[in-house]
Amino acid sequence: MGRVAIEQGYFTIPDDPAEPPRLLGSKCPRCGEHFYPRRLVCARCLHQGTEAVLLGPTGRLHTWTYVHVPLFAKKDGSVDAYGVGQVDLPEGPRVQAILVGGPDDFEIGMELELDLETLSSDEDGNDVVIYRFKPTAGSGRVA
Amino acid sequence: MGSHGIRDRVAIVGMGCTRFAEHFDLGVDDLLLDACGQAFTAAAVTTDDVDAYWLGTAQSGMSGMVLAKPLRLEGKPVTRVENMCATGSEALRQAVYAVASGAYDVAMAVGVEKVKDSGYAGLNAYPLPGDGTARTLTAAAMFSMVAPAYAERYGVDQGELKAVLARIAAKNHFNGARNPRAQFRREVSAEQICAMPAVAGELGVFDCAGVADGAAAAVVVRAEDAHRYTDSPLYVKALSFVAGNGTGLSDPGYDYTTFPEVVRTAEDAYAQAGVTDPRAELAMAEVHDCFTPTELVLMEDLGFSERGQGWKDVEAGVYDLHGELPVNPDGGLKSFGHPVGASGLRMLFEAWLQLRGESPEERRIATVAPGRTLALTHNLGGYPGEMVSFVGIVGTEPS
Repeated sequence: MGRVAIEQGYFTIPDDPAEPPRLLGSKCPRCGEHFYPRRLVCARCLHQGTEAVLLGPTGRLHTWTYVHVPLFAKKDGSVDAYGVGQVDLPEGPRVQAILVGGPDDFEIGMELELDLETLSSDEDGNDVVIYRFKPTAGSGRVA
Repeated sequence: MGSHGIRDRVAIVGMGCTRFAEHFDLGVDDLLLDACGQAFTAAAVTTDDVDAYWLGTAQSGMSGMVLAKPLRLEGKPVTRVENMCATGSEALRQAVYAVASGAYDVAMAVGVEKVKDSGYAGLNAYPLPGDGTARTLTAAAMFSMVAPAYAERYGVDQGELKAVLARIAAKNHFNGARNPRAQFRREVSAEQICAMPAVAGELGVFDCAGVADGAAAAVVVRAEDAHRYTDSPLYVKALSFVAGNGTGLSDPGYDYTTFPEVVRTAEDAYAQAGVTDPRAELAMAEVHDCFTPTELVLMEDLGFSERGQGWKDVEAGVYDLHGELPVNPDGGLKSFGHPVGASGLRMLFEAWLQLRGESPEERRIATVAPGRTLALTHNLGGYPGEMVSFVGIVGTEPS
């Protein structure tokens, strides 16, 4: 029984559960721009053939919200509310991601770290996981 | 920017607008007949006098036949246009440019949307094919991210900012309470708005515009012909449009306290119209108040307030019905709801009433009598970081 991604090609699943996942990104060998998710052609200089790189596992919170009413209203009563942030990765890209915590747990500028959450299990008994960001231990503001 | 503008070459000579509401008893055809009928009457023309039509609807039908059928048009060109929530303004742009080009003498811009029949309380959207990177958040959640970013950048206390945002909604409800065409016609206090259930971030239910069914229409002609149709035409001073390229989604340089697409359209429109000090020159503005933080940021992006000062101007009542520059005197999206294809032309309809002195006394703005002759309409579609923006300026005096 292991862990499998809800969708292939977006993040790593480390063997050690204590280790944070990384995001599967691309880097342009010509201009150095990073991208997430992966792409073959650089969106900045149009160079063909990017390099596969790992991004994260930390990021900085640019702005955020706490979604009390999800898209298309509440179809799933078990989902109460959840945080969503715009997270700037150290390599450059900004990603929108689910945040771990309550409505009072976030502050612009704080450091976050990638984390995996188990959503369900598949027919083989594997945990199906997604990535999200959680505040780092004792995280204050990052300049 | 490569726009030359068509200042004073085209005039609006007739307009119509339905009440915006849950029109469960009316179909798209009924709404179109109502709005177009009012516009035909105002301009004293028939369907046959109009040479070409532009119909804006996001998802209430496809092709120009959506309009040709209920109006029983015979051999007329009708084009259906869509540009997200700025669809109604897009229809106006196309009709005005068609007349300015010399291709037609009389054209009509129409916008319509039936939203409420879908059964849930939001704007529905066709599932579009994509590359898997599209954001899956509610519009409220996406615009709510503006509030903490604004508070952080300008050092505004979050609680104070929430009260400022509530004041924007209260102002729009105050105006809408004085408008028989508005969907919601009750005053709501800022305190009541702050106490509403949370939707996303700091936004409560009443920080969000509603949805509605509705239609609006305008007849446009060559400026030199305008007085054949009405004694009091509105001249088109500027039309500007930008479709953003969406880089704000992934670019860490985008900071969520401004909408660059709006800044570009405002600068372009002011250049076309020869406006240098919009806050002092405009008699009024109708802006896209889909959520309260949107209207706050628009006050700065449209050049009405200095950067970081918009919240103070809102607190000071600058944009109230009888403030220095009335914003959304008709009640805005907040009071009307947002039938996507119709909203842009609904905004223009308020300019039509106010600048020509035809608005009811209880919401008549005081800036027209002393001599201000211009009104601005601003209509956007999309979200922070990925939006389309329209800015139009009309006026009663040809230059």
